[in-house]
Amino acid sequence: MRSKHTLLAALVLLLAGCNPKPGEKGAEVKEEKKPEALPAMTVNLAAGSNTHYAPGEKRDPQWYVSWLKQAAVVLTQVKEKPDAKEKKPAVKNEISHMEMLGVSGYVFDKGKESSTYTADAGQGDKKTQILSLHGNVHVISKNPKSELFCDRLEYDASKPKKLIRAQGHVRVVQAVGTIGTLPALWASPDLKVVATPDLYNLR
Amino acid sequence: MNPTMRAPNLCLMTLALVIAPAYGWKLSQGGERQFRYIDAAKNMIVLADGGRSEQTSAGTYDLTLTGLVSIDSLSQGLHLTADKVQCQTAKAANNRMDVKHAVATGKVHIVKTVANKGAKEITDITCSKGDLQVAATGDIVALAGPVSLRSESPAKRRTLTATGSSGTAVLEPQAKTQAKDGIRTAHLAGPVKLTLVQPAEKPAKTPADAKPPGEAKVVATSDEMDISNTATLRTVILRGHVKIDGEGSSRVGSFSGIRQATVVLNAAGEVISVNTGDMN
Repeated sequence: MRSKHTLLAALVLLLAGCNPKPGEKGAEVKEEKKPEALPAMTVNLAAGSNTHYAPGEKRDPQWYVSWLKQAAVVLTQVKEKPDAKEKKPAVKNEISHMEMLGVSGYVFDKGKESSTYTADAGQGDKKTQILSLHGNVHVISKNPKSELFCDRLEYDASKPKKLIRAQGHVRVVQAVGTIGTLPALWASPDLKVVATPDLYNLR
Repeated sequence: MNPTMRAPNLCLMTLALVIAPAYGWKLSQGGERQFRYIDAAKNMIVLADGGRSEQTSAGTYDLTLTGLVSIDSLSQGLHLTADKVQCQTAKAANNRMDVKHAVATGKVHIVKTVANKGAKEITDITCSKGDLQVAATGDIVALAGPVSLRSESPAKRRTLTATGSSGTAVLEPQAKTQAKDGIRTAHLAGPVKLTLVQPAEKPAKTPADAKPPGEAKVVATSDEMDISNTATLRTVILRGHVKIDGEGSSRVGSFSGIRQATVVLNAAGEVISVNTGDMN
């Protein structure tokens, strides 16, 4: 049963990753032609995992998510107009949105694994580049050793300076003390900087 | 039942139904104060409306705190309140966090309580800006704005109150000390006003119907003032346009037009002599 699910997850990820890499022949054609959007397709999966990458040429990893129970993956298919040589239009599959139950994983900062997390549920969105976690959210940073607990959390990877926005019963347990319980707290991905939202961008 | 009587009750009930859960939710979310920090040893407690914590190295933090800031460090006997505080902490033994450096602005109030064999000595400072640098040799506080410095010994019913425009003070670094005063040394720039209050000395023989003697008070003004409690005999040196008045049961008379005066106090904090220097 598990191998069936893994196979299905692998198929979805294979579909998502089949778009040509920048610099390849297909990528050159893509710039010249306007893609035609097709209706989104939702695929329901059991256990699986996914690494989300930043858009663009660099494709830095932003977060890794593994789900234990189930996930609804929305695949957006983009059909590209065929060029003179190719008769059939190329179809590009992209994971645009994921909704998962029983999630765990880690977030990346500057291309490196920064903190690990677990939560009851999670959503990953390609357009906003935000990973949302809900219910019993627990983030663990190894260096410095620190733990964050909250009801809801957003990992915003849309900007170069990545940010954790935690809400609801937020508590940060550090090596030599505890911050909280607070209604809202922002933090750096490694939990080195934690602040009330009004003071986070002070420096 | 009169329907007109029912309307206000319903309004109140509706209001209570709306407000009570909202207030309960706010309390459950962390109460009125937004930012709160407590160290693992429950020694340092920080409260503020807004706060930012950045770990600089293992166990040390840079804290930026705004809005009704309150910092308590039990091991240091320190209670600091201000509108805004920039604070650096230091990791001490047993997962304890101490204040290492704090720059406080706006309605600054520093209370330092030291205990010598159970007897408490309280130093109470108010100013508009205070820079507290903690060191083993004493906590150095640079004070700006209208400054008020009060040293109190509740057991001995003795107080020293001084006001000035700016100054510095060196305070006892730890809550438990062998010292007999929370202030080691202090300097205030003027115009300075000094008030020393102490219980009156009991005469050797008191008639049964005699009234108890009132407290002894010494009030002095000068351009600047230096307090030194490091020697056995403590001194308060007043400089420039010195004026001294003994009030109540004080045996100190009145002096004026003096360039410098030294008030000498014994270990109990009682005035034992006033030595005047040159006249203005």
